Amino acid sequence: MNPRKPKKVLLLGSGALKIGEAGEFDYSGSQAIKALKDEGTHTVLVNPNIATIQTSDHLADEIYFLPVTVPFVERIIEKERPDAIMLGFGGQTALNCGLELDRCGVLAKFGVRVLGSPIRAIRDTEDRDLFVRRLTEIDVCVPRSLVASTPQDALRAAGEIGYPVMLRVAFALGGLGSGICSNADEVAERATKALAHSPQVLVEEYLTGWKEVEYEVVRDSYDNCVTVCNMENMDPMGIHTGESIVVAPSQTLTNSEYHMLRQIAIRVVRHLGILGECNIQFALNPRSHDYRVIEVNARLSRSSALASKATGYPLAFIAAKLSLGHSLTDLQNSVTGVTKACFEPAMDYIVVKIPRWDLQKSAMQPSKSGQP
Amino acid sequence: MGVPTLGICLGHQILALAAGADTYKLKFGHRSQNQPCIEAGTKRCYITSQNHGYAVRQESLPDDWEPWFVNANDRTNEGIRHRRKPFLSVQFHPRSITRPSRHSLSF
Repeated sequence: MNPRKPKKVLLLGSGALKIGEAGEFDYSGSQAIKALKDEGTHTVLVNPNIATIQTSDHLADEIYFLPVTVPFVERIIEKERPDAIMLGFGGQTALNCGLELDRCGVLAKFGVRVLGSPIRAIRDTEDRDLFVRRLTEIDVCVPRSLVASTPQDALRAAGEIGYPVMLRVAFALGGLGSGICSNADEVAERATKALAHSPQVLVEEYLTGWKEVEYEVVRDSYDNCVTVCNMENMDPMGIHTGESIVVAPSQTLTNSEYHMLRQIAIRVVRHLGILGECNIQFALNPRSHDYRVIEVNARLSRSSALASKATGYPLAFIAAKLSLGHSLTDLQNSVTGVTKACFEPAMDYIVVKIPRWDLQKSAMQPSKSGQP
Repeated sequence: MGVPTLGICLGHQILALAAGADTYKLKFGHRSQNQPCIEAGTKRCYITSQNHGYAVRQESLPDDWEPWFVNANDRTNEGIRHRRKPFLSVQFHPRSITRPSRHSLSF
């Protein structure tokens, strides 16, 4: 048995409030609670949404229907004194809250250990500047980009890189506020909006017409690393994954392209020191083997929920088990029941995700979709 | 005779037979590119590519041989090595990339 096995774990929910909002994190959080209960760990959950499965009374031992923000979570930590915290199961809100709790010393003050990917790895994936630096260390290509913290900086950066540019918002929730800008006016407008709620934006080369491919990767504390599923967006770069038609497994990659990106995914995940589950997004030039790593999410995501459904591999459950110190070779493959979780599912079928726009609910809205 | 030898796939089975061990037919052969093999004495697992119907009976290895890799799924032998001499072999195909074209060994 792992001597460092925690007795009491605090799990951060997604902080969503509406019925059905962030349903993928309700799923990942519920799976994590099940994994913790399986170990006999006392589980404390913070999630303000009563309309979720994870807040049902048969799952967590203690539930706080409070916002997932530092002031509230600090009070809960003070009261409950958990010995560990899980940040990767409540989407971007939980991840940001965890970074903030670490930054203001709350975790250190109460001796709360972070399970799963360490704070440093999370910061490396969230801070675009650090992210680019870390990936450059192992000669992995990232889009040419410049960080800006004022609209003036953003305009200067866009001029330097050349239009059109992709404007990304650091620490963004579901890619919110990111988008393509084809001229200076658009950059100014988008950057001003984004910088109102984020400390920095990233102006980067826009990879028009490149394929968008992502891999779901798991890694355990023994450095075993497998890519569970890959997915291809039918919509090109620039359309957010959440709004794209996504197909699993990828349909247009050659064997060598598939394995090239797989190898890079594993190298990146090992270098960053991810523990548990993460998602890595690539842009691939359709006419060459040229690629860029767009981003890494050190947490369960909408894509991982899709990958779990597509392959039957319970990513959230396995990620929770891995963060408790189990190895991939100890855990069972829940599909077969006899083989191990250390495998890469082979799909002889395809799964397609098509977003559905319920436009009737918003009759007053223009019937054109897109990020604000 | 001390020529350093690395057996692969059928070479693994031939080396085992030459050493005096047995092989037997598996109920389900290993035929895929996602076979997990654990390195003996560690928790390190490699995802390997394989295509074989027989396996080396691990218990039949002579004393001066030891298991090198074991399949994580069915615990069958996936590699052996001599305890002192440079003889070793793997049941899987130790390639960095699985594809039907020429490539180098990653060992």
